[in-house]
Formats: sequence, C-alpha cells, structure tokens
Amino acid sequence: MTAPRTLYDKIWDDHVVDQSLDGTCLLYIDRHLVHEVTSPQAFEGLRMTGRKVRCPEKTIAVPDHNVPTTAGRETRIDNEESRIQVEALDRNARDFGINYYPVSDIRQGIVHIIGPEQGWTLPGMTIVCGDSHTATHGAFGALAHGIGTSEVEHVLATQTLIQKKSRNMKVEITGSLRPGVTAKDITLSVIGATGTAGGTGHVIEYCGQAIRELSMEGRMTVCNMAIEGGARAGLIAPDEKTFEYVKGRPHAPKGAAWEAALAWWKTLYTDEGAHFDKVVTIRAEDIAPVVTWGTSPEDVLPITATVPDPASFAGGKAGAAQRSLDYMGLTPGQKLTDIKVDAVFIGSCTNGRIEDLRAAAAILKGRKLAPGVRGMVVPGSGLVRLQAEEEGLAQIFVDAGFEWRLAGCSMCLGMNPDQLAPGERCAATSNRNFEGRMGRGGRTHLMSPVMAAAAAITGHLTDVRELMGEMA
Amino acid sequence: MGDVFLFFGVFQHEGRRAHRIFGYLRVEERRILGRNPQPDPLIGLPWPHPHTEGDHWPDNNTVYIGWGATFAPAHEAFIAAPMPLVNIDTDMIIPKQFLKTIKRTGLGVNLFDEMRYTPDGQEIPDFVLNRPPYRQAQILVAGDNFGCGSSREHAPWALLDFGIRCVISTSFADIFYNNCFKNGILPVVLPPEAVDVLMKDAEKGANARITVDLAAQTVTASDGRVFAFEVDPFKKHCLLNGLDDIGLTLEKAAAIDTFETRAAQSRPWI
Repeated sequence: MTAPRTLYDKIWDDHVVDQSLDGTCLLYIDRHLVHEVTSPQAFEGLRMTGRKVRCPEKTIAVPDHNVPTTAGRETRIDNEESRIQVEALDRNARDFGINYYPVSDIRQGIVHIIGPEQGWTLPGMTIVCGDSHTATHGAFGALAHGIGTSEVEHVLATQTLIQKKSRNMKVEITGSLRPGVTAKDITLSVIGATGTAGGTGHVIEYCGQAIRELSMEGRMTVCNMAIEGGARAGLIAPDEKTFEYVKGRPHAPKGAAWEAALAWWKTLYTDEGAHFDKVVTIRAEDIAPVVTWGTSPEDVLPITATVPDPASFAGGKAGAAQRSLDYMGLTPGQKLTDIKVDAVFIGSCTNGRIEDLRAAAAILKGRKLAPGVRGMVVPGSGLVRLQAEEEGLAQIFVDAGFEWRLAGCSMCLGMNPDQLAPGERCAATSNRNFEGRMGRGGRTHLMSPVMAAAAAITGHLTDVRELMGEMA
Repeated sequence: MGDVFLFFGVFQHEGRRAHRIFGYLRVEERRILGRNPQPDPLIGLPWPHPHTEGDHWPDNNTVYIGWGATFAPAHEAFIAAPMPLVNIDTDMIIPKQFLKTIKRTGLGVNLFDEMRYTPDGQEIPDFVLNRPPYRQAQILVAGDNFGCGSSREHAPWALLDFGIRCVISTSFADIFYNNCFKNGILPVVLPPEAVDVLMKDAEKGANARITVDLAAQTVTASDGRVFAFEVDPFKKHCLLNGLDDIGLTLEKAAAIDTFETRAAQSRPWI
C-alpha cells in the first residue's frame, strides 16, 4: 500500500520520464499549446539546430495575443510587428506540421479557451504553454502551467520539461456562495488573502463545496488566476461535471477509449490523509463581490469597502501601495463605489466563456451603458461568439451600447489595437491590473462579469447585488 | 546562422594562469559591415558599439548578434542598481508593446520602458537606470516577489541586453526565476536582512560594489560581509558551464521513447 497522495502527486508520478539523484525530473508533456508571442524564437532555435517538433500531433497553435478583434483581420493586420508575428506562427505551424487554428478559422480564439473547447484539455494530463494563464486547464484536473520561450523550444524538441516538484497547497472554499458572488470573487479573494507570492513554489488544489458547485467555466476562472497568487499551477479534481463537459468534444476520446479514459480519470483525486504543505480555508459565505483598487492582483477589497491608506501596510508594501494609488488616481478613504469608470471590458481567458457572457447579459438586459462610458465585449473564441449570437446575448450587449468584437486577448494585455488611453479607467473582467497592462497609463479594476456589467450601467464601481435587487 | 562562438581568455588567479571559456554566443543574425555594407547596418542596436563610429570598415568586419551567456568572473565587484519596490512585475520589466519582436536581442533599450521614459521617449532623469553610475549596473537589488506576472522570457532578455547579470531579492516569481537560468542571469534569493545591506550598498552607486560568486554561492557586500545563497545544483552546473538543456535531454531520448511506448498502452487516448 503506497502512502496517500495528492492529485498533484498522482499526475506528477504518472509523467516522470527520468529522475536525477538531486530530484530534478524529466516530465512528459501531453499537450503543448502555442501562441504567436512567445514561440517565434523557439521555432527559430529548432531551425538553427536542425531539430524537429517531436510530437506535432500533441502541439496546438493559435494566434490570439496580437490579433485585432475587428472585422477584416483575416486579410489585413495594420500593425506591422503584429502581422509579422502572426505570419511567423502561420509559417511555423505549416513547416513543423502542428495543429493550427488560423485567424480565419471559426474555432480560433484565446488559447486557454479553445484548448478545453476542442477537447485537447483532458483530466490527468500535463499541459504547458508559453503563457502564465495556462493554469486555466487545471480546472479539468490537469497539471497545467506557463513556461518561458526556452522551455517552449525544449518541449517542442523533446516533448518533456526539466522540472523539480513543487510543494502541495490546499485552498478549500467551504459552504456555498451567496447571490451575486462568483468564481472570480473566489479567486480574487484567495489572492487578496494570500498575496501574489502566497502560492510561490506550490501547486494549489482548490476544493470544498463552493468549488464543487461551480460550473466548469467557473472552475476555469478560479484556476486561471492561480498564477496571480504565485502558484505554479492550480488544480481541481475532475468529477461528473468535468466528464460531462469533455464528452463529445472534437478531440475527446470516443467509444471504448472514452470508457477506459473515464475509469482512469475517476482515480484522479487526493487520497484521504495526503499531506499538504500549506492549507488555506475560506468560508464561501464570507466572500463578497470584490474589486481591485491598486496595481497588483492582491490589492483586493469587497465593493463595500473604501480605498486603503498606504500607511496601513507593513514593510515594502506601503511604498508600493502609495505608488499604486498615485497611478490609479485614488485617495485613501474614498468609497470604492464612488470610483467612476470610463470603460468596461468583458472578455479574456479569465472571463471570456459563454457562462461569463450569459451572466453579464443577464444584468445588462434592458439596460444601457452609462453616458460617456465605452464598453467592449470580446468573446474568448469564435465558437463562443457564435453561441452568444444564437442565444441572443450579443443583441443584449449591442442594445446596451457595447461593441461586440471578434475573439482574441484584446484589451487584457493591449498588444493589439484594443487599449486604454492614459488615465482612462476600466472595469475589467481580465486578470492583471499591472501598471500599463491595458495601455500605458490605463487604470484597471479587476472584477467579475456581473460586477463589470453593473459598473457599465451606473458609470461607477457598483455592488451588483443592488441591481439584482431591482431585477427581483 | 546557428553557429556557436566560444570566447576564451587567459585568466590569472592566485598566481595560476589558465585559459577559460568566459562566454558563448549562438548567432541569430549577421550584419556585414565590410564589402557592400547594408544601409545603416547597426541602427537599432541598443548598446554603443565602436563599429557605429566612422564609415571605413575593413573588408571582413562583421557583427554577430545573438543570445548567449557569459560567466560572471568571481573576483570582480559590480555596480548594483537599487529597486526597493515590491512585486516588480514582468509588465514593468518589459511592457507588452515590445513583445512583438521575433528575436531575443535588442530589448535592453526598452527595459523598464514606462518607468524609464516619458510617453514621448525622453529619459526620466530620476529613474535609477538613467542615473550615471547605474547605467553600467550589472546587478539589480530588488524588493520582494521580483518578476511576478507573465511567462514572457522577454523580461530576462531585456535585463541581459541592458547588461544585468544578476538580480538579488528576497523572493522571485517561479517562471521568471526559471527563465533567468536559461539566459545566463543568476537570480539570488537572500533573507531580508541581507537584501537590506546590499540595497544600501546599491544606493551608494559605484562607491559600494557587490561581488557575486556563483561557484562559491556567495554574495559579498562592499564592507566584506559575505552572504551565502542556495541554488539548485543542476541549474548551477548548467549556468557555470553554459550547457544546452535540450542537448542534455536529447541524450535521454531512449527513456522518452520508453515512456511513450508505456503511456500508449496505459493511456491510449492521449
């Protein structure tokens, strides 16, 4: 009888190719996702050394970071550098024979949205991508994390990664979420509680009743931001919801293979008594709709709070908090609900899935953007966009005054034409509120899709529960 | 292209003279300055280069550009730049608009771009790396959780291209930490008390240089205080010897083959 193992332990053990005496492992990678920004130098490295992609059938590429989200982009990308990167990915995908979803493909979208959507992401897998939000795929009970470009080249050439095992961390969310509180509020509240370095050196397993009650979309939102808490990856044990989501997807196993896979996946859970190096427990009832006030994802407060005084922070954080407030143009003691917004962005790999759009549309239905506020909805994939149009969600956004865009990373990192102007303040469903992230001088407040929708209607940060009261 | 240049030198240490490799370069781009030079072949290079002066280049003069690493000599002290801010993220280190390159080189000029320049491209004189002694800094002493955020390897590429060879902090974000080793940058984790001492040294500019010795795993402050640091033995070995990870892994191709055969039976749906 082996010692009890965590879910992370099990997936890790299943993928060790070789282990050195000092504990350094060669880990096998089941799926390698590739996008245009962090891969050109890696493919160039392969060419220079005459190496091939070892497993092109396990490698999936899509352009997402650079692509405009407006019509006509299949034939023309005005920014020359962006165009060169997208063309380089076109060429690399063709030359190395990997799976590819070009801009012209209806299935194109943000890499972390199309992986699950197409069934590339399956429980128990190891999944990497040159992108820190790869943690998203952990929602399926896959070990998924971001890597640098040198490691992208390593995985392309060898289908393995040189790794040392991280420690185990458990984040348990007990009880049930209250109305108006979402997966985004869970993940932001966890970061607020543990800090952006709270998970460093660890792989987080999220568990507890509130996590079990989340949809797959919600679980992806939670795992997506594991990296903002410093963790290498976030994981959620697969269950019936997971299997239901995966079943029938284009690259999911079928027939006898499905049955065999299912039997395997049902063994993917943390054994009773397994050891965690760090445990954080939060009561779901204590989580309120939250927003960020500063320029670090740990700068999280309930919407009912006020802007904090930098002097209230210890050590180096006091200086950082002051710098954040200067950048964000806020004063200590100001009510968060008094902060006016200029823009609202709904989308990203954190909140660009169909459920996110349904939730935002439910708040926006029959309502309008506040005067002077610009709103943008960017579906996470071409298929999400199609589905939202079929469900009538797109019309709700358009009627409310939002721009209804094509799929891509869009404003979340402003590498494409979608950006904030200096000083412009945005209620955003994305994942990073760093200085300049959405455009130089742009001010980002992170929140859930329903909270962003609420801010869009009132023109200032708003407790969505008040608007839900009106609806009831 | 793809050639690797090794740079040798004769070093003398405690009376013994020996040839040592002190760096390597994998060529990504070649700019021929001699016969039929391309127009303005060196424009865009971020560092001052003697070949940009004058137009009488000898026939064979060629500049090779690429990424590589040098091995910080153990007994030389370097200027360290102080950046006491906590949570310095990768968007600060290299903002997204500079991720559109398909090369590894040339990013040093945009390191900390939005903190270093005004929107119209003028240097901000107060920013640490714009101040005279720190323009030559080779070490960065930074606040907690340096390099948090995205996986962009452009962050270490930009640091390296500027000339930073070592970053000292109490903690680093995971992916950034790994990326440093792949690019010949040494991230050093030290306790807060040690970082405080080194931060004070850094604030004194060229008058208080810091010595980093990877082989001995020590950092020496200007007053001679020595701080030992931990580093993964494999990462240290690769950094000291400039080893190519992929080459090392391909030596284990048989083990990868075996794993794949076994996995094809136990998990055929992958």
